Amino acid sequence: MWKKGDSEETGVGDSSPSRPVLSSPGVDRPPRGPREAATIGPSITIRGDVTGDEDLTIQGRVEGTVTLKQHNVSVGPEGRVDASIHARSVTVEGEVKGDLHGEEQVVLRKTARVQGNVQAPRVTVEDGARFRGGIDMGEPASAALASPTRKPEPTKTAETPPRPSPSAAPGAGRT
Amino acid sequence: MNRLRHHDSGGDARGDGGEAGLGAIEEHRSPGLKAALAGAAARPGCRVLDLGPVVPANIAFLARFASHVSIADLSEDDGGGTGPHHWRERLAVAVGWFDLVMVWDYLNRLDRQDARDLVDRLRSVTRPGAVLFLLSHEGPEMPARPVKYEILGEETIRYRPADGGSVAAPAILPAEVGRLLAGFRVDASFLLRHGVREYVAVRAV
Repeated sequence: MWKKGDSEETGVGDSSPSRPVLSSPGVDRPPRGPREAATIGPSITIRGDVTGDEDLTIQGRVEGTVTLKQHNVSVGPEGRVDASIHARSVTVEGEVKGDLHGEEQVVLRKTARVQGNVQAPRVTVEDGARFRGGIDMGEPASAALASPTRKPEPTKTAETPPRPSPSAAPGAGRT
Repeated sequence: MNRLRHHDSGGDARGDGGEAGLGAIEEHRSPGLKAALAGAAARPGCRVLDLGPVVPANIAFLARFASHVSIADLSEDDGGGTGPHHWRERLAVAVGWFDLVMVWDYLNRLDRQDARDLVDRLRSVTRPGAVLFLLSHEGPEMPARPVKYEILGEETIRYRPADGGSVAAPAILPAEVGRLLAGFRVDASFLLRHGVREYVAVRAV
């Protein structure tokens, strides 16, 4: 595939940290540490619906649905998921064919290969990620663009920009 | 033929050289982008269809005014295939209506019939007033592989070509672009100093 550039990411949504929270206490059990996430290992294939009450890391294969709405789901670099994922936070480094719903955020790392729709208050996409699908961003604060005099920002990390004043009409230069 | 032209880059591909700027990462002023955004971005709940690969900076930029962005990523190998059905599949992510379509330079990378089929498909997912933004290489050569176009501001685009050298550009003249864009009206075109012409086309009634 094409050469990938330097790592670069963008966040869409609020201004919370781009990295997902790695631990989440269960509703009716003592809090679990960040290293206690359940793991579906590389040699495991699951066909069906995956539900639960703890964080989950998928290094193997899942076909069906994954629903862990109060918890975090990570698809590791070797993970392959043919399923929609509903979780508090979804982080993808591997391959997913299915929709991603994050109650808080969805993160596509640079090695991610995703085909499906993404819905979350905050969506982070790293440069190099392969993605085909739709991203629902919610309604913007206004249908406005940056001032036409704003200089480009050649930064390596692009965060969600503010929603500034209305744009001017098209400039001159027609040929 | 429905493969993008970069798959055919054997004989006349060059490692570098050719036109100055081909193969280099460069920033260019983009009056066409500014005009396209002025026409589309004011629409409430603007929905954008991007035919290029996902580019983080573009998602961040579009999030200022768009409620939805669909990424079709035509830069990936399409495995052959021709005709309207093929384009329905390739643009399967294009569900619903779109107010702005970032076509980039893909018309340069298709043969004429494929370009017409693509435009047909775009017509079916847009309504009157929707805006297309296109680039066309008018110099003798163009990058062999699809360029990543990175929006830095509403009138600035960074070109990030992939490796692969250059190929002969198809030299689609403005009049022919107008004919290829059946159902759309070219509202403005801007010939830039580096040999790329930008087009802003509006879906006709």
